[in-house]
Formats: sequence, structure tokens, C-alpha cells
Amino acid sequence: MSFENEPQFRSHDAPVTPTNPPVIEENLPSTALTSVPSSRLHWSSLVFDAVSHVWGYIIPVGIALLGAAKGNFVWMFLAGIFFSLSLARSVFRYFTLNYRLDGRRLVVQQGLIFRSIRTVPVQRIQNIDLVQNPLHRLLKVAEVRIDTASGSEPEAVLRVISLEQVEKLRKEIFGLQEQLEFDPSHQLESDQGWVVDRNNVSRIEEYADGDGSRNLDGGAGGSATENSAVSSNPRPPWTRTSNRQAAQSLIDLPSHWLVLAGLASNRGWIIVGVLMGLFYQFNDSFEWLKRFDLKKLRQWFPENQDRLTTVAVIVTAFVAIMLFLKILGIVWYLLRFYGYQLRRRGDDLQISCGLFTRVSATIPRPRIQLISIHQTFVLRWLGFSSIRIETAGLRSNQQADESVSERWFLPVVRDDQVTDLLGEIRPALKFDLDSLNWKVVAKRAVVRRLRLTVLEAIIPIAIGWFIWQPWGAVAGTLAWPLLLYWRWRQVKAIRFALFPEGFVFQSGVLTRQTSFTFFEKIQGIAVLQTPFDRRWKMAKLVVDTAGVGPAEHTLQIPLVDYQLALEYQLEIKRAAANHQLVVV
Amino acid sequence: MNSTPDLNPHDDLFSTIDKSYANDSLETVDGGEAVETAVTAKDYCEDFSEVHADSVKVEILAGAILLSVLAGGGTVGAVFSWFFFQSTWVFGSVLGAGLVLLLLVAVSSFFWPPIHYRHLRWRLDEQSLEIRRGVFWKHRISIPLGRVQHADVSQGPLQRMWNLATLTVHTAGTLVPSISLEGLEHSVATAIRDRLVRQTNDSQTL
Repeated sequence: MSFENEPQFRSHDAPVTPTNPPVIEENLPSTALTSVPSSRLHWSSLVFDAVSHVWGYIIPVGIALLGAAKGNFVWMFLAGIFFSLSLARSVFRYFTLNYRLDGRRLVVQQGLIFRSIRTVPVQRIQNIDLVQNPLHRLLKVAEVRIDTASGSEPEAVLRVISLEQVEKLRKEIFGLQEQLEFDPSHQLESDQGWVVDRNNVSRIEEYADGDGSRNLDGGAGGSATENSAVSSNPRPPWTRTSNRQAAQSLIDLPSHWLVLAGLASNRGWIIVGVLMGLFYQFNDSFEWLKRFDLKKLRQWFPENQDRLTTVAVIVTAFVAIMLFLKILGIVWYLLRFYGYQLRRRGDDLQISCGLFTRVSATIPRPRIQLISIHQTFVLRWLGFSSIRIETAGLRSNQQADESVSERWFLPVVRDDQVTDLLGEIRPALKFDLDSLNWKVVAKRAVVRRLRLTVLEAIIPIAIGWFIWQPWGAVAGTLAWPLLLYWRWRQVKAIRFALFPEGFVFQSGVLTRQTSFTFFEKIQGIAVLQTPFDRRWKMAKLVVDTAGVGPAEHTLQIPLVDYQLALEYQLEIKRAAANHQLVVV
Repeated sequence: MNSTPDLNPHDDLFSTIDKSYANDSLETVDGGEAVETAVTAKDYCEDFSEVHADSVKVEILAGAILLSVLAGGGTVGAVFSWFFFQSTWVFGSVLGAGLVLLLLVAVSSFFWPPIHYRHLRWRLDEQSLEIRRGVFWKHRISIPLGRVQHADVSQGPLQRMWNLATLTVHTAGTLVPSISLEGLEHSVATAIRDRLVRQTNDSQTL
């Protein structure tokens, strides 16, 4: 398949063919299934299932135990029934689940009477990722996630199989992919109907140029073949040459950076929050805490306390608590990101990290919707940033928050490495913040925001008044200039610009966030006006992407001059319409 | 290049768009440089078309139906309160509150639709579908043509009486995942939908 043979534009009355074939879930006759040797899960998956059940039942079991302690065994009985039912389910799953490579498909079959068969075309498999906790490592097994381009959820999860099996599966799948790629007769049926237009071609060539120029000094030979492959014989978008290329290491995070990041972060507080939440949930089981008497604190103080010693003790306690929280933060960072490695293999960015539980994740570069650079106050001062990315797809917020591949894409990185890394995340991205033609909010925005502080100042004044009758209000009034200064800095920190490939937005005083997206990822542009905006001839400019929130910084620019917002809407809209890259 | 939308001759409208679409694709499109703005922002505000004028009637009729349902319910409620409480005071206050409510609904359902209609505009050009809407909170949303995931045309029973329809456009975006345009003539709505979906099939992005 090549561009010469492909029609460059679909004629307007061509039939509509689905461009992204769904994964087939089918009921094949069982005779067809026995011909190919199939593999089972590792025996230890029973153990892991049992452990996860125990974990899942921890609250009901706790309640049941409490009940039993009071002589009521009904709950105990019920919990026992449910627990053994789910154990039986896992045993059943273990004995009925098998997977195999059947021709060009990976088939995962499960069940006896109601048989579910999941078929994933090998060519669509993007990556095989592993999760290993210490127990996994001890038993030399891993949880395997098989990813396709279709969405954020892994297409198939095998929990757990032995590392030998993983290696075998990897070899077979990637070997098969390579074979299929060199043999055009084996293309997927749905390749027909894929249409590439002029803009796309020029876009892909730009990519290729960028890669080529980088590799003149970089030296990975793999990209050169990719380069020629792109210009002469473009592949269908979901088969990628990634797997036969050597991985190129982009960055390894040394542990002392993680310690720094832990020190600068407030993760410790979050752990405290989680503990508090647990405390309130299991209030009854923490009876001993209620007996804790504040007066007993006295015994910790020296007998003949004078004022100075008291202050010293309080200060020491405070410092100790802060130190403890910081240590918690450091521990959190080390546990999660110890041995962090970012590698690139063709179009795939591969992350692996973790002290006990090792996580490996893969992000196909073209699926990145938004890149966000976060600089918290302390980290900025130390010269570090962190990079978050957003990819498309539906997932729950919590997953996104915990996701190593997005929210914690690059937890900490030195500022001078950011530009190079961005060039790897997005090929040929020439991103120089200083040279951009930055636009700021309307001049009258400062006045508007500062006027608002008059209203906002009422809150500290009122609080002060209630705490300490006449003088608290004065103290509250003194907070007003601080508020003024804060708002002024906030408004001044907002700026946005177009760069050759997309749109960038920066904001934030203490934590500076710089987020950018690319024209072909922009899904819509909105100019929104509240009645107040209209009075001030301002608007909010919203640039919408398919990224789902882990970056915690959306491209919504408030207080923009109305005319400017319209101009930007026009320009972005045009650029977006002209950039239509064919990627999945 | 700009289409000159009219309410009626949309055949012309769409043929213009098709031609310009074909021309557009032949132009060298520079991915890199920021696009020159030949059209100023002022021009950009013009050339929007309104939805069909009959949509006001649909809205008013819908309001009238709501009003009669409320009035019926209110009457029943008032009579009940009269029989149960036998007190002029309760009856009077229920009646008064009901009347005020009715008046509010009446005013809003008879005066609001024309205002709403005047502030609802759309434009389809070779690059995007644009919708302006909102009386107090104004929204101007523009969706590049290739980004439409799917588009629905739906018709309520009242809309069917005047052969109108509602067009809802969905994108993969997360901040503005869908916008709708109610009160389009049915043929216009389907024509826009076909145009949007065709473009999306030509270019798949995500």
C-alpha cells in the first residue's frame, strides 16, 4: 500500500466504512479452538486472586468480626459464604481461562457454559505491559496488560502468567507483527477505506524530517529505516515499526532527584488525609484513640516548665511533625518512582519505575493530546519541573490521578533537560518559550480583578470581626493589600501564544503551569462571555482537546480582550482545520 | 469564499461549500506558520444565519402546553385546598402563588422564545461549524470540520409539525463535548450533518 495507489481524497459519495475496526467478541465453534496449543495462567494466580479477595472483603470481614465478638455469628456466616463464592469463581476462572495465538489473532477464552472469547488482532496490539509487585517477583510471574490503540483500558489482562510465558508471548506477537508488516497480502481487512489527505502527508513528512535531523547527531539507526518507511511506504496507522527498533534511553531519574521532589511536595499531607479518612471510617475500632487524653500530654513536658521551655518543646514538636511529613513524602516518591526510566522505541514512550511494585507503561507518542509542565514554587527555585501529559480516552478520575503514564509522566526533571525531552515526546517540536509572541490578558483585567478584591476582602474582615471584636476587623483589613498583590500577580501570570504547531497557555504564581496542545488535537474553540465579561469587553477563550484531566490545567484563558479572543478563535480554528494528522 | 447563508436557498449554500471545500484541499496548506488573517475579526462576526423562524412558534406552543398543564394542575390544587382546609386564607395564598407562577411561566414562554431565537446563530464554512448562542451568557463555539465524532438530527413532535429539527454535534473534546442547534429546518439539519460526517471520515484524528 502506498500513497500513489491510494485515492488521496475520498469521493463524496463513497460508502462510509468504519475506520477503526472494533475488537471482535465472537462465539467460534469449539472445534476450531482445540487445534492450536493454548496456555493457562500461572498457578500462583489463584494465590493472587485470593489475596485480592481478602483485600476486597476487608470491610465486610471487619464488620463480621465485630459482630462475632458480640456473639452475633450471622454476619460471619454471610461473609464466609460470599468469600468462598468468590474464591470458587477464581478457581473456576483459573481452570477455564486460556489464551493462545490463533493465526493472526490473540484469543483469550474464558468460561465453560457461557464462554466468552476475546479476539485481538495481533497487528493492533500496541504493547505488552507488565506490573510486578514483590510477591510477583518472588514467584517470577507478572500481570500482563495487552494494549491496543482503541482506548485507555487494556484490551486483555492476564493475571498472572510466568515470566517465561511473557517472553514467549512477546516474541510470538512481535515476531508475527514483523512478518505481517513485510507481507502486504496479510494486511487487515479493514485497511481498505483508510483515506489520507494531502495535509496528512505533508504532516508525516515533517515528522520524518524532524526525526532524521535529530538522528544525525543522536545516532540510533532505527529511526533511519523508519524515516524511509514513512516517505515511501506508509503503514496503516495501527501497525507500528516500534517493536523491531532498539529502545533509546531518554532519561533515568537518579534517586536524589526523587528525594528532592519528595521534599518539595506535600504528599505527606495527603497520606495524613488518607489516615484521617480511615480513622473516621473505622471510628468504632479505634476506641483506644478516644481514650487518649490531652492532659496526658503534660507528662511529656518538663516538670518545672517555664515559658521558654514550653515554647521550645512546641517548636520542636512542630518541626518533628513537619519532618515526619516530609519523610513520608520522600518515601512516597521513592516507593513509586525508584529506578524511573523513560525510553523511546520508535513511536512508543516506555516508562518503568517502582521500588517494590514495578510498573511499566507505554504511551504511543501520537496519542498525546496535551503536555503540561508543572513547576511548584520550591522545585522551580531548585531548577526542576515535572511533566504531565494527557491522552484521549475515558477513565475514572482516580485512575488518571494514579496513572504513572499521565499524571506522573515525568515526576521530576531538571529544567535544562525539558526542551530536549519535549522534542522526544513530540517529534521535531521546536519549543522556545522566550521567542513566542505572547499575548496577555486585557489591560483592564487588572482593574477588574482588583475591584473584585474589595468584595473578597469582606471575608477576612468578617472572620476577624467574629474572632476578636473590634481589632480583628482591622487585622482583616490589613489582609486586603496582600490580597491585592496576590490577585495582581495572578492576572499578570496569565499568558498565551500560538507556536508553529499549536497553542500554549501559561498561568500560576506559586505553581507555574505551562500547557500546550497541537493543532491537530484541538477539538473545538469557544469564546464564552458572562454578563460581567460583556461589560468589560472581555471573554474566556477555551481550547478544547480530548485529553482527560490528569494535568489539572485546562486551556481556559480568562479575562482576554474580546476582539483578541475572536481573532485567536479564528486563527486556531483555521489551523486546526488544516492540520489533520492520521494517527490513532 | 464565505458562504452567504439564507434561510431558504440552502441548496446554493451547500453547493458553495462543496466547491470551496474542493478548492481548499488543493491549496498548499502550511502546517507550520501561524495562519495569516486575511479576514479580520470584524468580518468574522458577520455572515451568520438564523435558525428557522418557525422555531419561535414551536417554543411558544411548547410553552403554552406547559402553561395549560400548570394551570390545570393549579386549579385542581386550589379546589382541593378549598375543600380540605375550608379556609379563605389558605385558599387565597395558594391561588395567589399559583397565579404569580403562571404569570412568570406565561411571560417567559411567550416573550423568551423570540429573544432566544434572535441570539441563536450558526455558520458553516469550509473550516468549521460555528454556533453563537446565549442571551446573557454568550457562547461562541467553533468546531473544526474534521473533529466531529458524530452528529445527531432529532425531531420532537412539535418540531415535526413545522418540519424542524435539532442538530447535536459531538466531538471528542472534554470541555465542550457537544453542542446543539435547535429549530433548524429538517433538510438543513441533515445537510449539515452529512457534511460534517463526510469530512470526519476523510480525516481521522485523535
